[in-house]
Amino acid sequence: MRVKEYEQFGETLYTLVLPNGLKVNMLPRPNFHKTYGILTTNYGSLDSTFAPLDKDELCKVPDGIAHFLEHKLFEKKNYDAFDLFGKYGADANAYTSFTRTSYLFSATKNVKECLDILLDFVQTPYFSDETVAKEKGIIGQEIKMYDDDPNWRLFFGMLGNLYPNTPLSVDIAGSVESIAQITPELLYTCYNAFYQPSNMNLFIVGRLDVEELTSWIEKNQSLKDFPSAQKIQRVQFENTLESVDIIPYRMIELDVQRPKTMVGIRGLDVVPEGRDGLKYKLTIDLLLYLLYSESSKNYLELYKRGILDDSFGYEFQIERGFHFAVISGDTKNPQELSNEIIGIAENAQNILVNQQSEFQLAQRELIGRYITSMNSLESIANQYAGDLFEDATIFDVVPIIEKITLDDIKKVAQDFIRSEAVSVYQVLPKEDVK
Amino acid sequence: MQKQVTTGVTAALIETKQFKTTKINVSFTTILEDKSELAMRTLIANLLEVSSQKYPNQKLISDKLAEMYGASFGTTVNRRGRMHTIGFSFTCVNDKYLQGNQNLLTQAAEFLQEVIFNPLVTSPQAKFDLQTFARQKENLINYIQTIKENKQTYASLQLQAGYFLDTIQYTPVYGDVTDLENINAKMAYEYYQKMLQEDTINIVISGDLITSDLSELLTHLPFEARKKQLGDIYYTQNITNTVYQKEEKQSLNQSKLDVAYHLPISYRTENYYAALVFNALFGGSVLSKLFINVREKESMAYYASSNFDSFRQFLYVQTGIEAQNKEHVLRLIERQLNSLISGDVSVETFENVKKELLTDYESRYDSQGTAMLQQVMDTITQVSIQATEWEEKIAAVTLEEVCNVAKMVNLQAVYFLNGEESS
Repeated sequence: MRVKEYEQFGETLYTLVLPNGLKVNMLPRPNFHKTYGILTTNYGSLDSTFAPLDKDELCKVPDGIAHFLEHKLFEKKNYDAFDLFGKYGADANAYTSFTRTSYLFSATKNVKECLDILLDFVQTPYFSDETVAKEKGIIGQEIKMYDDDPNWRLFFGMLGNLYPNTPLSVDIAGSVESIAQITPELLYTCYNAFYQPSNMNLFIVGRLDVEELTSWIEKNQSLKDFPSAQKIQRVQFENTLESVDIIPYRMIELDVQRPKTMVGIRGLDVVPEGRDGLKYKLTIDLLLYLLYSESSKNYLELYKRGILDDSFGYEFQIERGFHFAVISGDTKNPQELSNEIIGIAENAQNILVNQQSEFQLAQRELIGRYITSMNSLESIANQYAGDLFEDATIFDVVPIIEKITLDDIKKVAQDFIRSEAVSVYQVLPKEDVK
Repeated sequence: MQKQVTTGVTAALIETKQFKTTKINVSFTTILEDKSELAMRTLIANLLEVSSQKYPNQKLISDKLAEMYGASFGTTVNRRGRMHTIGFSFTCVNDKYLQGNQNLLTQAAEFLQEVIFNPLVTSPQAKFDLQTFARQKENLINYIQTIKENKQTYASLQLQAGYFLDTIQYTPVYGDVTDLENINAKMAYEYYQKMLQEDTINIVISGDLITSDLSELLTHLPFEARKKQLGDIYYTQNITNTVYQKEEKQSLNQSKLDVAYHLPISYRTENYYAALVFNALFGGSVLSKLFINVREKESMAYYASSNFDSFRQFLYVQTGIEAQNKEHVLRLIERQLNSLISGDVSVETFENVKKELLTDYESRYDSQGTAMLQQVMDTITQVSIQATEWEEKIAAVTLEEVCNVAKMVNLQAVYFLNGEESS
């Protein structure tokens, strides 16, 4: 077991890797009432082309299958995992992203039982024609609910511009048509390939005893037989991309009150490996803060002119195989707003001149936000990105931010902001024909 | 520790080593007398969030918060029963996790004093700064209009508009556009003055702190004694004999079916704990009748849930469905209610739902903000109970009591947002 002390924050992280390859992180928080556990597999909606276990040939599975699998793991032949958690008053849930699928519980009592339920329901798949058919109705409604959300449409419209004809531009849940093709056999194929313990990790945080917990987990895993760990062959998302693919502009008319505009910047630069990748991400966070936050040079003027309002915001996403930034807002002048956003991006080097004191404020801001997020058991566990940043946790972040310089930001701005990587997507009100 | 600072002003200190932050809430509560106050109070909350004499715009506020190591500050509006609360919420990291002696708590107290007591006004006319006022008013009008884009929220607001008889209750919490348009900078400033003098004030600070920290904070928040006490905070209305029915058509992928019921049980009074168990069994949990039957068994919806607002005796169900299934889902909802009236619940489910409620209750204390809100609620309602007592009361609820609650439920309104627009 590896023990890592974070003295600045009074925290200790315990890590071990079981013989079957499952990685376990434990972080005791004795003052808390809850214990939160999350079991994650390094598999998401992007992983739609891969070689099934024991095979070499690649196969392509329908869009949305990772998310469908996540729903279906809860239901077994004679019971539902929700009912088992319910016996102990525990909350349970799950979610799927582009590159990960996670199953979680939180409980204030009976942690051992809940932990066993979590490991057992995820590690004992059961898919039948009947339960698969039934789920199509439920997920169909989930997809339709998001289709009616204009902000969701804006976001996926932008992904369609930045990454056209790739799984990244498709809703994580797929479409009503794509999920219609899902069968129990396909679910087993995905499950067997990606739910190997060596492709998974378990993070437990909150009220817990490390020794006791370790023995529970080891016992649970030793009672199960797993095929020996195999290297997963999947088509790496980044290898399917060509920069020329980017669509510079599209729009859609929907029943909205005000126009929405989004500017996207696709990362065409190569993200450094390991912890340097985390530094890269934090440097971009600081860059975007200096360019687009309420404290940025241009924000107030645009606000006063009524070009942007409190709906304005930005985010940077980085996962296995891709990274991009989006900046968006509701506005009466969508063209003007996107032009301003692009102008700021293109002018970044000039904006960053003589910004030493602003940069130091941005650094403080980010440090404070990360320390604040340590209040939440869910943040601590959910922000752990496994292999992506070499097992970094949020406790590793603050010292990295402290080392970033304004020059690092200028350098990253040069690498990341390229005019050929910029795109605009807009949601505009339908023309009134009444 | 809780103390009465002066008439109508309370302050509480929650000492805890659980969190890495210090959190301060200052809330202004009143009983609403006119629906135009909703728009007025939202606008004032927004104005005070973005400007003060010392920090006349949001860049300066944002810079100051960044300087205080990513401190966060915001105002909120909230309606509960007949009460309306404007909350000032501030969070900063505890000094001990930062390098050097930052003394953030003193800075926080000075900052809150500034934003609460020194708004950006034009003297000597005594009104809010006109430019800031006009901008915030326009932004709020825009915001209210975009709420329509969230169909779940929209359907819920339409249901409430149909259910509530009182204009204050059927208006959305942020007010309506017509009222907003009638407000000018002078009226808003006068209302702000009145609020400062008359609203009930509750101050709560939580963190790894000592008693003198609260005293220091209070020297920066010089509220005077209030003349009026809060009156009756609960909203009640009579049952109407006809069920309100409304259908609206829009071109959508998913239709929304929402149902409202009258349930005459109030916060922490007789039957309240049975009502909590009832709601969890009806649609408040993944073990509930609505979740299991409407979603899991019949595959009719992704979400089908119920909520109970004990400050307004208001129970409501929300679903997202196919338009053609409307009548079927309506019958399913009715059937779930009837099965609770007849006590058709296994002993196991009954006990499990109670355990789930207890977990939720205990989990509140893992959120610094939630524990602080409960503190304010206990002060205002004057019913504070210990965690163990809460647990005992839930444990003591019988199935018979839940059946009796179910019998008290009365259908009052059905709103259907039909997504299949006939073109």
